[in-house]
Amino acid sequence: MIKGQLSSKDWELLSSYMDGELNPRDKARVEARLSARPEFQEALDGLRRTKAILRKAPIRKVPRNFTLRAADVQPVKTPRWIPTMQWSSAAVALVAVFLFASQLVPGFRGLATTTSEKAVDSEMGAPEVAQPAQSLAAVPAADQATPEVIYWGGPPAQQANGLGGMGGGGGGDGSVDCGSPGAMCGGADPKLEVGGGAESVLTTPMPFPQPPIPNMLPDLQTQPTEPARSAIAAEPVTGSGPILGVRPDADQGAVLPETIAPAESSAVSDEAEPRSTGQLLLIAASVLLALAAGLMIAAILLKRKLLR
Amino acid sequence: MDEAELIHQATQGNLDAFNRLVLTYQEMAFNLAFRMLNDDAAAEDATQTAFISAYRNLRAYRGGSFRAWVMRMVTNTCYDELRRRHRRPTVPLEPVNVEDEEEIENPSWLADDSPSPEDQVESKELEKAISHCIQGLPEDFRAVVVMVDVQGLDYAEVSDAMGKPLGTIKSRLARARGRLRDCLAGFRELIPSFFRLGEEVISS
Repeated sequence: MIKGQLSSKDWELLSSYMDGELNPRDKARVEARLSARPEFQEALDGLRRTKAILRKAPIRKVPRNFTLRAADVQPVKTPRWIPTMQWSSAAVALVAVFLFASQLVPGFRGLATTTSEKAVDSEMGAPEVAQPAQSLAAVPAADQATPEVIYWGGPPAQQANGLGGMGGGGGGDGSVDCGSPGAMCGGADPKLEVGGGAESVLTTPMPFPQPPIPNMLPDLQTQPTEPARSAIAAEPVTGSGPILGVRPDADQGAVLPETIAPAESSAVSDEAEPRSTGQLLLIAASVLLALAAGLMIAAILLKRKLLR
Repeated sequence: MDEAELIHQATQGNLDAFNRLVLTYQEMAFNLAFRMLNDDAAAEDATQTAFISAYRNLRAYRGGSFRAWVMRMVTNTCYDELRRRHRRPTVPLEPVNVEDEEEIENPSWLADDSPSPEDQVESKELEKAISHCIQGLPEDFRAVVVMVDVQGLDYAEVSDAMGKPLGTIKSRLARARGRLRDCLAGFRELIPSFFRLGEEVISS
């Protein structure tokens, strides 16, 4: 009843008034209300009654003395390895951040990928004999070393220009010299269009017989292999890029085992290395960060446990 | 040797001087801890921990009421204990209903809302009533009303002990008293002499 009539501020004033904790102005205000409003007096009586009862609450005797012994207040000795853990976690975190930065910042990445570039260089430096076997679309740079030319059935009496059209040019007129850098001379039959040229122009009669077409297709699909190439006479010419040819008569039509030359396989393994180096660095950084966080948390928990 | 000198020597590392202060305030500290925690063993542990903490942090004492400063240590220790209880609440052993022999799932059987009429010792009833009503208060209200109404500290000391402004102390105390007034009214029949005593206080 009274509770609903008085505001919480009124109760606070009455409570403080009872304890003599009001300033003179508030005290006068409360006394005016007490004389004018009976609910104020009733509320004050209730508070006084409550306080009187609480003051009569039994005091419990202490079960023992709480005086301290020297052993109780000895400074807690923190094991030396706890600060070590904290500092080591900071060091590990720094290393991890450096590793992350080496992957994200271009300047750092240049330093970090030095080994990767070396791997790429070694790949580029693979024997040119293997290049035609890798991809027909891969045209080497113009300033590369003299490519190897493979002839069908033996060396020509004179230079065969325009066979197979313009290698890799796609849409060239086929009149480019096979010996020029970047040109790729393909099959004898223009219908095959191995080099992608539109049409080949035969400027000089072929001095050696053309291989039968049915025999060419399987060879192109399976791609020539190292043992077969080693049996073919090669003549260095100026220019670059893979030059296709056919196998000698003795090997034509035969199904040869598809093996990868040692140099080629090493190039393939070198290709995967740059990628894995970056990934390994990121994995190492993640592991180090997790280790740093673990060490830090363990040090904090152990310290809290010891100090408790 | 006065209190200021004892405090000074304790700050210098004199454990005997500090123990003399402990003897002065241990009863008040233990009773505050008991009213806060409503458990003898827990109150004992809290009191001991509070005095150890007080000795270790004695350099942080910046003058003023040393009693209030000690009560602050006790209050903080009790808050830690209450937080720990909230984190790891203990599951009460549930009694078995005699009619169907099934466990009573509602733990309200622990709360003895109606004081036993068989208990004729009024002081025990008073203790029971006060403990019951104080435990029904929020923790912050509990600390304030115990320090002011049970232990007789003034508002400024409680403000120091709680680390709260005077206005907050006044507000909490008024609300705590209002709740206690309503709660204790339910025990009027069991502790009539104490209510009569209250009436005498009012009429005087």
